[in-house]
Amino acid sequence: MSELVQITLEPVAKENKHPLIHVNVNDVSNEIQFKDKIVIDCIMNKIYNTIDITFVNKVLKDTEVDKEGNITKDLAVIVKSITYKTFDFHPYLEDISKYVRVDGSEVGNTHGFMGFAGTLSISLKSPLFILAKELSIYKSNYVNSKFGSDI
Amino acid sequence: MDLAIVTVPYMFTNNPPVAGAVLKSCVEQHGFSAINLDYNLKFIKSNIATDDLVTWFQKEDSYPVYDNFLKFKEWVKECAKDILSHNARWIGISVFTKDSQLGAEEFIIALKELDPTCKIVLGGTGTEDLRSQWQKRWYELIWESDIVDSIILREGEVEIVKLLKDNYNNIVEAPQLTVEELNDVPVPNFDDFSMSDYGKDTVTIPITGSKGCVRKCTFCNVEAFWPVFRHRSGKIVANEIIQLYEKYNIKNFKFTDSLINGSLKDFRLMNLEIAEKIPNVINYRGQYICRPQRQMPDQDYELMRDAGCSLVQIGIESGSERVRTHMKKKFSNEDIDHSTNKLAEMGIKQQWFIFVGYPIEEDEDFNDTLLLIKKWAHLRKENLLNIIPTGVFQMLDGTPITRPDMIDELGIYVDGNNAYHTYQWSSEKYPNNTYEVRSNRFLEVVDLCKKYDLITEYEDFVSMHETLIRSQM
Repeated sequence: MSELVQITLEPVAKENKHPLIHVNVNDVSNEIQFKDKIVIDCIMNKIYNTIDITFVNKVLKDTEVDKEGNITKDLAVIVKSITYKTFDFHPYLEDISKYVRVDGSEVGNTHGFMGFAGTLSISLKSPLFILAKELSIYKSNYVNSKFGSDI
Repeated sequence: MDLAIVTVPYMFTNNPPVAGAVLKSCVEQHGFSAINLDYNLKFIKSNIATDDLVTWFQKEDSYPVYDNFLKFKEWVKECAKDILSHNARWIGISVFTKDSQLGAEEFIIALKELDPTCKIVLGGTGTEDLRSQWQKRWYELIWESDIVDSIILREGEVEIVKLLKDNYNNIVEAPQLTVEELNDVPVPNFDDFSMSDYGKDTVTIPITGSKGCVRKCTFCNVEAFWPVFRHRSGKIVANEIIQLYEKYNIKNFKFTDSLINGSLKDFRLMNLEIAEKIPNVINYRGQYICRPQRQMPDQDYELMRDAGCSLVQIGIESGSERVRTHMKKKFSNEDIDHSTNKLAEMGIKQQWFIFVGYPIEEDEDFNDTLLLIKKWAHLRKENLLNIIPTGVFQMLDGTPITRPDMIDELGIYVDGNNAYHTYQWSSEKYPNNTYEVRSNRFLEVVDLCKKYDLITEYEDFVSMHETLIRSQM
């Protein structure tokens, strides 16, 4: 079984500092620093596949806010899409992923915005078209609840 | 056990699945063993078969209630355990039409989860239908996902034996059976089915006398599956019917053929043989084409009656000769008149299929359709005619009309989404044939048929199309 998933990431750079990430796909790691939008090819060759995106070089002071608390400068990674053939898993990110800070605390659904140092773990069960089907059915029934949780 | 042949939801049924019965007899003829397992029937008879699931099987973007979907998955898991308990070397999943694709997916997943080493082969015409969500043929999607071991496209009668012999893992496009191979196909074995489960007096056994069609109608995809019309000897077909009657005491038969009178010589031979050996005992029905009097003289109609022909389904399609000529139906209004009269005279019922909105159809052509219905509506009183308005014209994959030359000839507008596949297609050459016009014509035909009480079968099918067509207006 070998299915291609493409993840598109967009950087939010702070001045000359650009995001540095570790991408681990089914235990194969890569370190990527990127200045522009990138597309990462991920081969899903297991039944239970994991894609870990670890935001490595983010520190607290990278986020600057004004007096009103609005962010003025930041370093971040935005997951724009997670595509398999014609299907985008991005709208279902909440159902298929977990975002954990370095201290072990979990970040709530950020719709793909990675603003903390930590790891976004995406779990995809193959065959992906079946997962896509099940997510579509689930979300058509329960718009605001999480796939796989008790109904 | 060499082969477990599995029929999955969803297909409408009033008979045991013939594909499984034919495959069983084919493999047994070569010394292999096989068992048929009909989970479609079990599904239909269970409380799992909720309306939303059935609708979803037929229209994949009409999602079912999630709880019902989960119950279905659980039920499939139990079925998978049952299938695996037969310890078959191969599990053959029969995908009869597109409506079986979603069910088949669940069976494949459940089987492989329970036993990743089990070997699954897929077959059936439904494997080649598009899986709309992915804009791919279903078998391609399945094969790319690497979840089955083999796929047999097209005709499985000979290929399934090769698979059992060679144990290959591959997609095979089986060549169309030769006449010799067709004649060599043994009598289907229905021993694994309990006939009473499919209705008592209404059980109808499908018979295949031919594959392919003598016509190449522009809107029809039969040619894509069977490029050449090949038929069995009329005598062999007659003997198959006689044997099935003697073995299972089944008296109702229906032909899977595109046309029962495609080969007139063999049609005649079959009728003669049945009429001689078991006259007026069985009855059969099948799809039929209007023939001119010089091709089908009066004796042919008498033989049909004596052999037990009770109903013929005729793709009249349009009352306009001009439209039918473009469709390549190749029968005239005179042929319709002759055929209709003779069939009625013999007491053979007719079921006409009619659709509207063929690209070149003008108001005058549509009026011809209305006139044709009115002309023969009187046959309804003697229960000799019913009509099924099948819908508004829609282009199907693999049909001559979707070939670039015909798309061009008819000025069919094609956009990036291949909208010509939908009800909403439009033509630059026939701009008056809009979806609204087509829909109104369909509703008018339905109203007219209802007025004469001509829709006496498949009322749900007609009503579903009415709803669907209205919803798209």
